[in-house]
Amino acid sequence: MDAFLGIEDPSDWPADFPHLRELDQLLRCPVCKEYLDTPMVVTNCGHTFCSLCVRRCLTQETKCPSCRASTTEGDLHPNRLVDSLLREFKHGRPQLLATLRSANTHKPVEAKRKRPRITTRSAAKNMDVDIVASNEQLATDNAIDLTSSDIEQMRSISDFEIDTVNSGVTPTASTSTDNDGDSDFIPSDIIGSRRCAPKSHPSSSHENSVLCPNCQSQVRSAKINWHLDRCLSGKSIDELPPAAAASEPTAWSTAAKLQLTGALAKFALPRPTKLAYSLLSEAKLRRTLRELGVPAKGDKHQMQARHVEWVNMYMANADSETPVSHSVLLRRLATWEDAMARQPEPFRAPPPATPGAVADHTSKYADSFAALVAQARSTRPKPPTKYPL
Amino acid sequence: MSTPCRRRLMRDFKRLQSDPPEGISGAPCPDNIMLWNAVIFGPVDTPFEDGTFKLVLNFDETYPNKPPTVRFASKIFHPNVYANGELCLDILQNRWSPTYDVAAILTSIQSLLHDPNPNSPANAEAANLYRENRKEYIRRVRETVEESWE
Repeated sequence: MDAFLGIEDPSDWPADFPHLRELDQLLRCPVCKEYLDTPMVVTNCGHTFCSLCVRRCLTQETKCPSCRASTTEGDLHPNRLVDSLLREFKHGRPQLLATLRSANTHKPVEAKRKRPRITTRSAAKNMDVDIVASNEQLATDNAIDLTSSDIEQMRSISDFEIDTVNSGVTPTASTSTDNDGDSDFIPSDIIGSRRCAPKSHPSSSHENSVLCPNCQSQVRSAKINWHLDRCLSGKSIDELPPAAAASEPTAWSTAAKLQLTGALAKFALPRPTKLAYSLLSEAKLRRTLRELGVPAKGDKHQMQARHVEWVNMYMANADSETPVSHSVLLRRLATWEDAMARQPEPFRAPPPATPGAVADHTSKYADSFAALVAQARSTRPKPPTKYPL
Repeated sequence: MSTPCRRRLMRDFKRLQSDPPEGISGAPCPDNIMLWNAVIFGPVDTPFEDGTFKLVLNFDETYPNKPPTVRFASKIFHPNVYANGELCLDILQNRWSPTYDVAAILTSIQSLLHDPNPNSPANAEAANLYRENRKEYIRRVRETVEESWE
């Protein structure tokens, strides 16, 4: 279904790989159902959520969203292992999915090899769709408020992070920043040490290569999507990848990194704290928002909602191993506010909707309801027995 | 524009399509993803058996942090359903959790048909009959089941 393009789901995995479906499910946040973003474990019950998701929930109610155990933000702790697991899983997902699906379409791999390439075209189309879908997914994930250059910047930061850990330089730096969850963004000394970390790994050409499921040749993992596109559509794979693919984060010059670091530091905003809004006058709240560098427009109710969201966004960003700059964060806040301001839809209005409105609705969507009845009937457990008419 | 709420609703829809609970279906209106239509088949071995009950779910941008507004669009005689179709169901009020999705909401409503709670009645007549005159209660429910097919 077209509308689902870009929505990954555990059901994407073939039904005969239930463990992969389960694994996919386990790596998702129980609240937003997306892959965990900055996973935080609730230390008293052990449930894990995205940092922003769980912080938003705790704003509503100080209980674990999964088990309702009493929880406050002090009980949250970064779950770094899950973060690393996810990074690898997400990288490998499109490729593994394509491999499994093509294996399912053409059972023995040997037989597939012997066939002329044209016969694999239909499978190729499917795989193309998958790859495009997953790329779009990436794009839509970030499209909300990130420009492509932002994404590149973030990628390069996350690469630094990996290097830092791998090379053993300041291995505790990131955790110590996050334990208090509030330190100012990326302290420049940490960034400095990251910059010193060597970028390339020795003999990386072999470690990072993967087997193309179509032509069985070794391809660098970073180039596999590009390779698959070409390989499956029967185009030449000898050409150089397009410029975008070629300019991997590895190609970033030191000067560009320095510039980025400077830009990030410039936008660092003061850390917000939770407030007792009922004790604050409108003017005081407005002043506080201004001091925090956050828009101070609107009435007290709007400002309060904005402040609550800003605290959650700021803290979740501070939890992250790959924090974004505060200018990006401010844009996200604006996007959030736009969405919230969007007006309620028909039925939401005053609670007891009139019987007339309900009747109008059911007659307007009579076809839709008829289809739903047929659909529900098809999944019904067994024919009625006890209450025959 | 895609917002976390809309994306989550698309995800809920995908889940409902790929793995629908028994006797349950639901879909957003073609012109408005925040407004959903749903159908619940009355659970087997209850007086609601074979009824096709229509529901309307209305979400806003606070979903899943806040529950949607849910009401029956079909007439239903049930101790926990008000005359205007609104439900008295804890998970849609004070026991809501943002981990619930549309499939979970509809499954809970289906199980409410199975196990009415006469202690917090929204329809006093239905609650009284359920406790004191089960035969009459069943007869009234069967009337609404027949109406639900129209």
